[in-house]
Parts: sequence; C-alpha cells; structure tokens
Amino acid sequence: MTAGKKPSDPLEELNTLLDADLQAILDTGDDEIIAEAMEVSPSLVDDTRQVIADAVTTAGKRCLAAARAELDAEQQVSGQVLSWPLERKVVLLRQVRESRANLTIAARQMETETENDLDSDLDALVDLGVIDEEGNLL
Amino acid sequence: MRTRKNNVRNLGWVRLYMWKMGGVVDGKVGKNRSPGEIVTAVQYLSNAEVAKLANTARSLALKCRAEPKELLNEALLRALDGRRKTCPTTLPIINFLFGVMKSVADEWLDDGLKRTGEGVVPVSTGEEEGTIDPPSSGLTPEKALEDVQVRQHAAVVMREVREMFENDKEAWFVIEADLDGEMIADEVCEVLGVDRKRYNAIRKRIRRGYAEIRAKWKGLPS
Repeated sequence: MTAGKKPSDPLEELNTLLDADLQAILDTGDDEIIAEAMEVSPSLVDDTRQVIADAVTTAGKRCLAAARAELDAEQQVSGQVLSWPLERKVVLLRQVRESRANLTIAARQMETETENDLDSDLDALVDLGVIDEEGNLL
Repeated sequence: MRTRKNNVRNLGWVRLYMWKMGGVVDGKVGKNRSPGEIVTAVQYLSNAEVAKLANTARSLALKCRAEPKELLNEALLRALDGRRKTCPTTLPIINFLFGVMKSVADEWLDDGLKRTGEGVVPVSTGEEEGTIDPPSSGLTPEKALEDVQVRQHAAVVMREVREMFENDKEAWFVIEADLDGEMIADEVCEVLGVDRKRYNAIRKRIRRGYAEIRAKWKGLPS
C-alpha cells in the first residue's frame, strides 16, 4: 500500500485500488500465487505460458516483416537504375569510368561480361556513392 | 538478376532482424533491455511469475473491460516487438510487464470503450454522478467528452466494487485501507486481527470479486 490521501475522483480511486492489488500480487509468495491461479483454473499457468509463447512468435514475425519491408523498400529504390535497358546501362558505366579519375583501378577496370556483372557493378557504384539510384553521377 | 546483391540483401534482413532483436546498437550497451533480452526474460519466467502475470491481467481487465488474455497478449506484443522501448535492466521483468499492462488498460479505457462496442454505461443521477468533476479546461470537446466517459465508467466500476464488498467486513476494510493509502499490509493485518495467510486469502477474495464484476458485464465466467 502506498501513502497518500483518499482520492475522490472515481478514476483515481479505481487506479489506487488496482495499484494496491498489483502490489499485493507482487508481495504474495510463490506457492500461494500459484495455488490461487490453480483455483481460478488448473490450466491457467499453462494457458498463460501459451499466450507468452504465441506473443513471442507473433512479435518475431512482425519484426521480420518490418525488417524485410525496410530492405525491400531500399532494394526497390536502388533497383531503379538496374531496370534501365542494357544499352543505357553500358553508356552510364562508360561515363562513370571516363569521368571519375579518382576511382580505384579495380573500380575502373570492372569486368563486365554479362548483364548480371553490369548490374552488380552499377549496384556497387550506388553503394559507393558514385551514382545515385536514378543513375545520376554524384 | 542481381544474384550476388540479392544474396547479400537476403542475409541483410536476417542481420537487421537480429540487430533489432539483439539490442547492442553501434557497440553501445544501454541501460534498457533490448527486445531480444525481453524475449529471453519472458521465456524464462517461473511458474509463480506467470501466475502473477495472469492474476494481474485478471485485475486490470476490470478497468478496461477487456479479456485478461487479450490484455496480456497486447502488453507482451508491445514489449516484445520494441514498441515499448523503456525496460530498465534494473527493473524485474515482471514489474516491467505489469507497467505495460497498466498502460494498455489505460489506453483501452481512454478509447472510451469503443473497442468493445459497448459504449458508455449511463450513470444514473445518483451520488456517484455528482462526484465526477467537470473536465479540465483546455481540452477539445471530443477529449472532454472522453474524459467524462472514462470517469463515468470508473464510477460505475467503483459502485459495483462497493456493492459487492460493503457487507464483507474484512474485504471492505482492506479496500478502504487501499483507498486511504495510509496503512501497510502488516498494519491492516494487525487491525483486522488476521495473519498474513488470512490477509492473502482476503486479497484473493477481492480479486475473485473483480473477476465476477468483469464477467457479469460480458456475460462470461469469472
């Protein structure tokens, strides 16, 4: 029980009553509180454990979905330049090589044999901040 | 076709998930438990702690007219998916979950009972209604109405609690002592002339009464 004056507001009264009850629950010994739960329902503890397990699963799925959505959104943005026609991508890569003398030799000598290689190179250039997702030189 | 990048990104969401569930951000260990640490903590609750959670949910459900399982489930989800961010490592997990349940109960009550679709129980022109103060100034008309409705609901609950226990001398004394807030449990036991075991039995009776009131509203078993 906490010190204080008797509240007059009904909401305050209800809060005070429930706070005192919560404190009493915390103060109750383990055996007694388990016995009380068993009186309510023999399966109350097991049922509550199931609520906890379900919540852990649901929360995990929500976090995964949120993380996936975040990365999908990012992928969608960086995918813009990759959806260009092949010829336009080749031109862009050439422009980058010609205009960025300060690129490392490795970056300037990217081996581009297939469209997959080209996409990977352009993706890397987006990550390096050499071009943006729309293919603009930065 | 961006196989390499896709592979990296497919691993990326796993890493991001692990990061979100893991807790250490930029190498800084905070004073709050991460969602991952909360997951671990709730999975290792003892039977007594689980029983305490269940009993607390039953009591708090009285306030917002929810089902105890619904209330506990929502509190757990908020704690576990990171919506409830402050969980000090120094606070026992059970106390933290009590706090989240209280917040959910407050929020659901603030929804003006819209959630259950029951609306507000009309309060007759009795003494209880007269005890409700006018809402604080500065509130919007909608918020002021909600404020009145919430306190009307609380007044109805308190009236039912009084009606249920005013003839139960021991329980009524404990309730009055709770409302006064000036006596600790040992003092209540001394005045009532009961030991702690008997006191806990009275507490149990009160909680059973709360469950009966809540169940009566919903037409459900307590």
